[in-house]
Amino acid sequence: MTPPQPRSPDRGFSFRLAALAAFVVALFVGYYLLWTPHRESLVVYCAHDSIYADQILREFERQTGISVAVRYDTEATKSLGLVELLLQERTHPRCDVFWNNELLGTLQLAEEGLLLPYRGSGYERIPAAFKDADARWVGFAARLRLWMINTNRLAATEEAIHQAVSGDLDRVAMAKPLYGTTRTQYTILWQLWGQDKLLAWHRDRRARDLREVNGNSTVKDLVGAGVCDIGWTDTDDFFEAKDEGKPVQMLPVRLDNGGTICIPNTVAILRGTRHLSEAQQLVDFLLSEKCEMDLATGKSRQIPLGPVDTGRLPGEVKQLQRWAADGVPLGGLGGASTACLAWLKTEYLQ
Amino acid sequence: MTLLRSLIIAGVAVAIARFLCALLADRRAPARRIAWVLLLAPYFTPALLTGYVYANFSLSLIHHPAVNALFYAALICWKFTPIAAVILHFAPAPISAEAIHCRRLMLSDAQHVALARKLADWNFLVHAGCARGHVAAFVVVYLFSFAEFEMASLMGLKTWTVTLFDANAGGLALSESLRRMLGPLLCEAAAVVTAVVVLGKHRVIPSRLAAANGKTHWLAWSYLAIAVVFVLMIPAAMVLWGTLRGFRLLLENFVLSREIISSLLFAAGATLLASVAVFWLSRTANSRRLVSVFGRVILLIAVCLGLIGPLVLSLAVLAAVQIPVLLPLRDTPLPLLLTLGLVLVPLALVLKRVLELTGYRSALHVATLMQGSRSARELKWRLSTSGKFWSVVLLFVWAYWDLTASAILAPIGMTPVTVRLYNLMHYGQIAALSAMTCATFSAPVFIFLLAFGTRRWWAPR
Repeated sequence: MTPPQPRSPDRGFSFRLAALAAFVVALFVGYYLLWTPHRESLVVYCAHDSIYADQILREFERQTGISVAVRYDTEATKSLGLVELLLQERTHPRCDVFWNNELLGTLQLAEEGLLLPYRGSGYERIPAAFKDADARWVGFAARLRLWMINTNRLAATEEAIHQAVSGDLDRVAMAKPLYGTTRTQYTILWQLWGQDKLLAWHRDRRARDLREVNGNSTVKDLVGAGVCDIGWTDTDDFFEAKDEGKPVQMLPVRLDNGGTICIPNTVAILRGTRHLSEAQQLVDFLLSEKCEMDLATGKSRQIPLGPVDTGRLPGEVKQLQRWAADGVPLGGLGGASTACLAWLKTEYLQ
Repeated sequence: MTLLRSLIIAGVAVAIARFLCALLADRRAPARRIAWVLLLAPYFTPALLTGYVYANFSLSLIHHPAVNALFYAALICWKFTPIAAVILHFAPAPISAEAIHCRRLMLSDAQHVALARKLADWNFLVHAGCARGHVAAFVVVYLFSFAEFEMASLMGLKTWTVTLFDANAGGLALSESLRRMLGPLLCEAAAVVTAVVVLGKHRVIPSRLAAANGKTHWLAWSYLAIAVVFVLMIPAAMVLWGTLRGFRLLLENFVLSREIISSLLFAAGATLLASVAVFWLSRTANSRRLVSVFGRVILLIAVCLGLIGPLVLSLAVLAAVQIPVLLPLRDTPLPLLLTLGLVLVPLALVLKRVLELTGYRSALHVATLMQGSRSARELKWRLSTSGKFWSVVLLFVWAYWDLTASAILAPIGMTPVTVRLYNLMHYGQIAALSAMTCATFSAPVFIFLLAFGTRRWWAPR
């Protein structure tokens, strides 16, 4: 016997087809609403930690009404990733403003001719030592390279550190020097010592089991937890650990000449930008006293480079300012940077 | 090292899965349901969540890298054994255990030497197609563990995926990245070819599954419990604890809403793409016309592309959109959507096959005849729509939690939430981040609850 047919077999099919069509339309509308406005947004490549940078950029959006689309770097490949991306995109640029968390990558982009000069109010505010004479980039809100010490394991003194690094280094941590501010430190050593001495020093450290990890924040975690006794990191990571209540202290990294390593954020406008006026507004915003003050009084305690109301600065930042005054000049590192980076790539990317 | 570890994990997973299968065939429905939930829970726990929670523990093992590697291997094994168990469950040996026993009894007089008898047994079983399920399970688990990235990265393991991803993110030229992919790609291709050759030889003639005996029963339950505790319960508890402490911060400054919406859109689009592709290509492949050859070839290519994993596929797609003709597509959502869709195709195909194997066609026909009544609707939901609904949920969740393809291909302004979370997770475990992870986890759950709760309005009657 033939089973009776359902009353309207096509009705269900039509309903499903209509639902599918509605779903597809809804998806397209979603993509359109979310993605299309960003085709006209100011595109910022940002190597600074997103947990700090995001608030600043949202504040800029709120104040100016300019929409900002940000591409952040990963912690493991800090700053180098974005610099290489900008180099790769030179023929079809997407980025309008590059906010780097260090200087070397920006110097490389300037040498490659990728940056557009701009002398705005922010440029005038920053001292000459921290900006390009041709106005292709400007530094602001710096951090210091430092020794982070777990005080449950080691006294926070130069002697204790010297003793700790003279033997086995399996309780000493460092981020991979190919990336971020550790690369800046290596480049300075390259310039001070020359290639041979740095290579010998580096190989000696590795042979003595120095712990190389992904990023300064991992160094912070290792030292904060007491898994390692000391490590090289930056001031913002140190204060993060300190705020979490970890038993840590800091001492600035001192070079052979007694100098410290003070690394500014840098900002630059990319050649080929389609939003020049908006890019200039963002650059001036980042270089303003308010922005430097926000970064100094925020969790990262960054050191203002331009004139600010020192009365409002936290005591810790004033201490950092004193150490930063001994900072070695970084502007002339371009040549050393290229050579050192080429060597580091053979060492870590092969 | 990754290759060796993946081979060992796949072998162990298949061996364990044989015992787990017995639980899935338990005659008591409640026990069977619990076994399914416990089995699938570790697999569907986002790798990002597990990796994030164990990142600090792994850091504490920096002086004992072998222990860390072992712990990672255990987590991977717990996470991927369910796939092996599901494959073995739905592709059992074509000859029943009773038939094999009868054959042994028949041959017992003729074969006196134990070793020779065993070899003859193996030879017979392999040729009869009894190994096909095991080969498929081994290959799939091997491919998954070989291509794993998120947990390895967060736990500080140096796998080829982590090295390649970091090198690519660190600015390695794309051509160099693609060149470095060749070795891993060969390892993956070898597995896929083996599977195609072995599975292509035999037709699916499933037999009844054997239920577990007392001792293996107990061991299998213990294994499931341990896997759930380590892969799901501990990470979930720690994230929830962090959420409680960071909830206020989350409310004050919730910055991930845009990223979550992006992820939901990409997941929905990729699920739709994979579902439609598998549905259409399967129909084409099964037709009797010449076009079926075309359908089969396209389906095979899509499955192979999906099986090589999101990292390799994403780099290939990235290379493709650098070609001048395709350059305008680079900044659009299309490359990521297409890649995610392809990654989902193998899973969509498996789910479709499972639905076909477990369907009750005559009962469904009866339910269709009863249309109009509430009980008929409920019956139809249980017999047909619920299976499809769960398949879509699984595909959606898979795409939602993708990190690798999203990190490489997401257009500016539509960064999926996993990419932001992954970057933030490198700053360590903080309460606000745990709260963000919890919110990210909750978004698809909310969508699921909404869809499930409103099923009476949208489910076919």
